[in-house]
Amino acid sequence: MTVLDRAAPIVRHRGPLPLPAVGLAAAVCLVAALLGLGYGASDLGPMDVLGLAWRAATGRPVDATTAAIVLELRLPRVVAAMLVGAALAASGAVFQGLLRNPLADPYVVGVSSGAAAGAVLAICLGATGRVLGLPVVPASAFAGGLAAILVVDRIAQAAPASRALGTVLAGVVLSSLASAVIMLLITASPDPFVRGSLVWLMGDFGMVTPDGLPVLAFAVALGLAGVYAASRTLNLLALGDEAAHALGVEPGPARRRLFVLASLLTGVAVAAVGVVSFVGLIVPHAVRFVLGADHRRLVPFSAAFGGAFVVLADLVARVVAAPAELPIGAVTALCGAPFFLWLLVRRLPHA
Amino acid sequence: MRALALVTIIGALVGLTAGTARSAVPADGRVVVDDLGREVSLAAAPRRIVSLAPNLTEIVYALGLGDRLVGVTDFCDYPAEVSRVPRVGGVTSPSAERIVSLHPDLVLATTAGNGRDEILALARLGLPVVVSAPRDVDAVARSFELIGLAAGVPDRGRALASAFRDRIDAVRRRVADRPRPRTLVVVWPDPIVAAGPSSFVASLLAVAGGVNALSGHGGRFTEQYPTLGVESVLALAPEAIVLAAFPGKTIEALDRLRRYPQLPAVRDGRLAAIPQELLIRPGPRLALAAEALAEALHP
Amino acid sequence: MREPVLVFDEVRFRYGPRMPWVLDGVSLDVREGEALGLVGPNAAGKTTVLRLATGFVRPTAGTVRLFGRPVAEWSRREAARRVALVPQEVPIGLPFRAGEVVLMGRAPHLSGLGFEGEADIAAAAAAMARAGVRHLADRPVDALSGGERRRVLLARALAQGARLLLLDEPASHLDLGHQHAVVDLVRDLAAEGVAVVAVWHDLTLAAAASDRLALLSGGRIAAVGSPEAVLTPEIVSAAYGCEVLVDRHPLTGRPRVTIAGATNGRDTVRRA
Repeated sequence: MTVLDRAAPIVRHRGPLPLPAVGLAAAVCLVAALLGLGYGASDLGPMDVLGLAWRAATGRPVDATTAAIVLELRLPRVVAAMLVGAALAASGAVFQGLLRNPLADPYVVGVSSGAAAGAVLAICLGATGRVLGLPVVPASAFAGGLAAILVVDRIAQAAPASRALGTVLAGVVLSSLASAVIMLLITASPDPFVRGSLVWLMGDFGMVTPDGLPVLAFAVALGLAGVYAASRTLNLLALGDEAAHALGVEPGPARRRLFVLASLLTGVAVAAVGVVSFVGLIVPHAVRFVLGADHRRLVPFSAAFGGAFVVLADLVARVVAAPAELPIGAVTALCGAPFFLWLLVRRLPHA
Repeated sequence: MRALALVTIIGALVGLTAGTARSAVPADGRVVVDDLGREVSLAAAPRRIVSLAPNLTEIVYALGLGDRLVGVTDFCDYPAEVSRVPRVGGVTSPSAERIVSLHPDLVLATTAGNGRDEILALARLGLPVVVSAPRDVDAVARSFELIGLAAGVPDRGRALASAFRDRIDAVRRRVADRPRPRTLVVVWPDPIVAAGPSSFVASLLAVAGGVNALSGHGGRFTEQYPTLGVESVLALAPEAIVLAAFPGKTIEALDRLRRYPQLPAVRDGRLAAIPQELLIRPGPRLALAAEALAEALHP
Repeated sequence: MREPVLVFDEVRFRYGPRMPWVLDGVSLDVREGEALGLVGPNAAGKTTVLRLATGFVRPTAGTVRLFGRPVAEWSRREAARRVALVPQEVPIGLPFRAGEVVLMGRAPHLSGLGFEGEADIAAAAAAMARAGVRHLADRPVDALSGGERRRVLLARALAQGARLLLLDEPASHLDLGHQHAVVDLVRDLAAEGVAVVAVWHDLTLAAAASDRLALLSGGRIAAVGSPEAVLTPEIVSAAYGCEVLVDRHPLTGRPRVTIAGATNGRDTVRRA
């Protein structure tokens, strides 16, 4: 090793997953889960939860109410929050890489809203069951999200000079369009049982049903695995289509595959809990800041920290104004919007 | 079409809850069938009652069981003693966690306010949820009997219902021979939300000797509470307008209406306001609302 | 006879059915260890030649063969192990550090999710040293100057370990010292057996770097051969539309081209 090797290492982190970072990620997720299980609208606290776990583990009888609150009310929410957070953070990393735009995330580029419009359309048409074994509402959400990103990508390709801001603008317009469609659908079929549009536009983890969790978990696992497997491709695509091609990637099919995976992740998340904003923006940036932009690390760590972030945001939403519940999208937007503006201002001189 | 969907949904509700209902409360073998056809196992004399809507709270107090209430919504405001009862949240989305932590042995819900998913979720958790569906004035009376039965005081329930029916019949008789004006009942002034022909408010109007301005019209107004633009109101040309009075909104609303002298109701001065907690709350005081409404339409 | 590495056989190309022909019957071959310089006026199709060589675009007519097989038959990864490209444009807004970008040049040699090993890192380090950017490895690419970024891309291409190197205007944006370093690098690579096809803007540099030159004009090869054979005043002025003086460069012994005047249609405006 020469002096130069120590001064200017080729890469800062060798190998896949630096152990300290993995340990930290696991610890953060665990703590977030414990906090999520330990606090809520009632007086049940972390000690009670631990007591429940202890009694269950040692075979002693447990208090039915405590069990009901922790296992049937809080646990599904925490699990859903982990999954949704992981899905949105990973798809944020994908969109930022594919669109070569640090401002991109499923919410900003209009994919979340498109997915919500797809889901609401399915619900208003009454198609809430399964077709060919696939649950219709998440599938419709996936289709809506995919349609949105294909439109945005087309626009981004057509205007390379102002691509960064152009993409964001297209996303904003698409979101408005999707929200308008959602409002129209809700107003036109005022089934008294159709939930208020606020849910779809601002997210609500109270919507999670225990039956919906397996679908969510399966789809998110599938999507995350697919994105992780394509992390090196993402790295190469970020260099530009021609460069990626020269390094062994077919850019067209690779991009399409990744868009489909990211739309799948966003679609099932939105179908489960409505639109949760800015997670896909904040988390990848934070991870990139610490661990660098290599997607082979960015994707798994974004997923882990994204899950923890949303668990904590849901906790805040549940506890801050109890017994009322804040919409989760409002909590994430309060964190994310100022961050987005800061990023935007930093970029403007270079745009 | 809408009715078919409603029936399907209710059928699904029934199937779902029948399939997944577990009782966390020791069943004394007493089973009550609620307005949705659900069979609910209840203790003989429930001591910890949670009410999820203001009308249900009033019914519980009217049955003399106010001291057994352990949880009410933020909107429960009558009678005054209810202020000392802990809150569990709003009407459309009460906090399941709060409710569960109160260990209720009877939870009262209503389709006129509570969300279907919330009711389902509570039932899935094993809570004994009795749902009332007060579709019209007669159903309101029956709900007193249902809740009395569920709460272990069937006699009081029947007595309450009987007294209610007597007052309602008295109103009916009083206006029996009077001409029935075409009336628009406005339950919210801005935007204008009116009581459709399928709502219980419309049946109240019928008792008080009015005809709903929204009925007829080839079944256009199928919603319970349609939103109307001012143009639609002008087109309907109601002969009388009754407003559900909300504090701070009523004067404004009346002034807005008075800007349209083309409306027969405005021209003839047949505008009335009745406190919303009487008019649109399907509880014991609905009889008072019926009397006031009859008085307003037939002075 | 050395093996032909890249062969264009009567290639015609246009971007769409109603577009004009960019290449209208181009045939050339490049052998192992040969440095071929592509020169010609702007928009003559030089970059397109490179794109056809990597397979980024397909010929509308004719065939392009890489190491004996048509480009279309190579799998992307196989091809990327043998052919490296340094594009003209440098993308902006890359979130990576220079070392990471160069290391990505090893991607065609890695499978699945494999991470780079010691050998790959050593190759990247050597490539960066060769391109004169070793000291920049830890800097974010966005913080580098245009010239430094181009040399990082060159390092990436070198790290690929390819037998055919395609360079699109390698000397542009570089200051004088680095321009000559590039010329030396091309000659060294050719000596090591790597075939180099480079597009040159500057004819003198092209002459210094290349074994053979191909002059592309109007979608066809107007002249091909040694620098002396191709860079004659008549051929150059016909292609570029301006008067030139060609003499011998005192240091390299190769042709040196200087502009003597601009041809304005028929009339020639002479410089004083």
